[in-house]
Amino acid sequence: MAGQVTSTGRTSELSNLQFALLMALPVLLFLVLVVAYPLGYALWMSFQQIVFFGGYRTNFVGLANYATMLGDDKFWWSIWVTVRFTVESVLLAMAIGLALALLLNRPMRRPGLIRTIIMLPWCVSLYGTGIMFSYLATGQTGFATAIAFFFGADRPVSFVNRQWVIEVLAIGNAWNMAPLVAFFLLANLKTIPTRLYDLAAIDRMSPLETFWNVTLPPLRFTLFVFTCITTVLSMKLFDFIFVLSGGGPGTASAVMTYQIYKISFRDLNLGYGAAQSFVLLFLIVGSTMTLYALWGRREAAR
Amino acid sequence: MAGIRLDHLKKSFGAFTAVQDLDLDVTDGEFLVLLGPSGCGKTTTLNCIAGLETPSAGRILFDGRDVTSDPPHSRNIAMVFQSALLYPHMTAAANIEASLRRSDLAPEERRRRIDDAVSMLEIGDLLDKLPSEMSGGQRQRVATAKAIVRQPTAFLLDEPLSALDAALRMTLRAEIVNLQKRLGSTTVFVTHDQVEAMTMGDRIAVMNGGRLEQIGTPSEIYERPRSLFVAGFVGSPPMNLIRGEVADGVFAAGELRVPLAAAPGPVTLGVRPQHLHVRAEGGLPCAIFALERLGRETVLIVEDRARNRLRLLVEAEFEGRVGDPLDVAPDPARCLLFDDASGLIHAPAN
Repeated sequence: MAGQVTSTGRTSELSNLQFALLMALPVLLFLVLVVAYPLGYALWMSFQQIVFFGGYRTNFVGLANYATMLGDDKFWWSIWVTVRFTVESVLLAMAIGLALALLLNRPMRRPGLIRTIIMLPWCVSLYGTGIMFSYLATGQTGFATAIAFFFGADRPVSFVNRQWVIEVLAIGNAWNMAPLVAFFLLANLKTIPTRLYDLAAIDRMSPLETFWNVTLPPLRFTLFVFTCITTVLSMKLFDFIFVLSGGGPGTASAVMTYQIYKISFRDLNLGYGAAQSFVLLFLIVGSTMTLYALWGRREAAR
Repeated sequence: MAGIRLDHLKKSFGAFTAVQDLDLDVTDGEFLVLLGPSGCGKTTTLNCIAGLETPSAGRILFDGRDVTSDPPHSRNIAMVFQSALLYPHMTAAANIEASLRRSDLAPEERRRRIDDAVSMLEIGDLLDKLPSEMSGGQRQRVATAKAIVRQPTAFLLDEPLSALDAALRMTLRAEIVNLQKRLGSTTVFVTHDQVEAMTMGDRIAVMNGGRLEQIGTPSEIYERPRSLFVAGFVGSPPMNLIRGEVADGVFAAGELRVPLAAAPGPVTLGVRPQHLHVRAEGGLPCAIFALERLGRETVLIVEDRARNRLRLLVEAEFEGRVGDPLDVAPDPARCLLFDDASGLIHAPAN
């Protein structure tokens, strides 16, 4: 316990709470500096109209920025695109991650080498992933075009279009995230006693029932955690989308992060951009809380 | 209930032969223990009986019916695994019901069997609990209930007690035997613990290196072990095994001389600790190496001048200190002689 010299020269004991606060002070200061201050400043900005031209000035406009959103079609469109991209990314990342984990859990030669190869996509930066998938999906360089030409077609096939660009983005995003999911699931799979599969065989469980009753239960908490993580990561994703599609074609892939970037740094409407950032923040917090309420609470109770 | 017969059973994994040419008869209602060190093939044998492994050669017969290629569920067996394996996300009740889920039983019959098992094993207050909320002993009881509701042809138990603490093991040992005798069900119990084997089995089959070393009642195995392996593996404290030679009706090893009427040649003498006695003089000169006081008796470990260690059972009050000299001599009437190749060659007449 830390002592403190008082004016009378005697040392007096700090209470546990005081000591805890003292110890936490550096990190609290750090958090205030890097989290609370920018967050507070952004909140303040969202109530202002910020003007750059003819001299920088700010005008307090109250909730006007928030009110503008309600009638802004581009805002509502970006929410829809974000939700669609997120749901597809999460489902794909979990499905691919689970499939990889099940594959990696089978007996094989050189398991270390194969695990390393499977892990590689996760090590590629999202910027690099964006460039790679952009080449893979566009008409001039894409593999769909290569396949089509092989079968005698004479027109390039592109997936970077209004109809499919979100799916291209989701596949690229899942390609990048799935290996990490797979590795955590694999760690869970390794804890399943093999005798449990024997018990299932004696109880005459079908392969699907065995998967449901033996394989899945130890994975469910990890699946929940990674559903939350991939949801958050997908919603706040920017660089990958910026590189691959630039929010286009048109506004086809203008997710919220892209929309906020455009409003804040191209249109220089910082107040409105800040207001939309807060909507994104609440969407992220709200979706993880909903996931916890609907799913996580049950898993945590086990 | 049924008898189980293994006919020239063989199982290999790649180049490794786990079980070779095993013939075994488990009679109806018998409690047979498969005993052996790890890697001796006992669990593989049990897996073959259960249908979890397919034999490489040989046949498995239940009451004369060939079930060698039948899947586990159609053999009507029940199995209890090490550390009382249960589905971890299911309550005790759901785990027990899982045994009957695929059966054609009427709901009332199902209910009755579950109720019977629950009252027999006194697990009524555990039914809503998950395995993670139960103690090792409780899980063991639930796993046993899960096995008996099936009313199986045979119970197969794979080291069900080895993960439990010693006190609980003793309690459950008696409970399992009592239950087996009440149900009269054919049971194959796999263990590496010779105390479990001796206390539980009607008969013991000792396995080593994939082969059956000996099968017999606990007293047969104990009194007349057929090979050096069985002699050394069964019994606690273990039998003293002394390599030596017989010439002119006397066994000689170092300074030890025991008059034994046996054919001359190199042999191993086996004598249980309780048949090795302390003598004032005229025996094998030794010094006390260690004393293990067990309360009811004392295990005395002595070392002769050639640094061979021997174990003796002496009375609890035995006075002595490490390093004290004393003479020991085996009771010639209780000595066994083993030949390396052919096993037991001389045993006392009963």
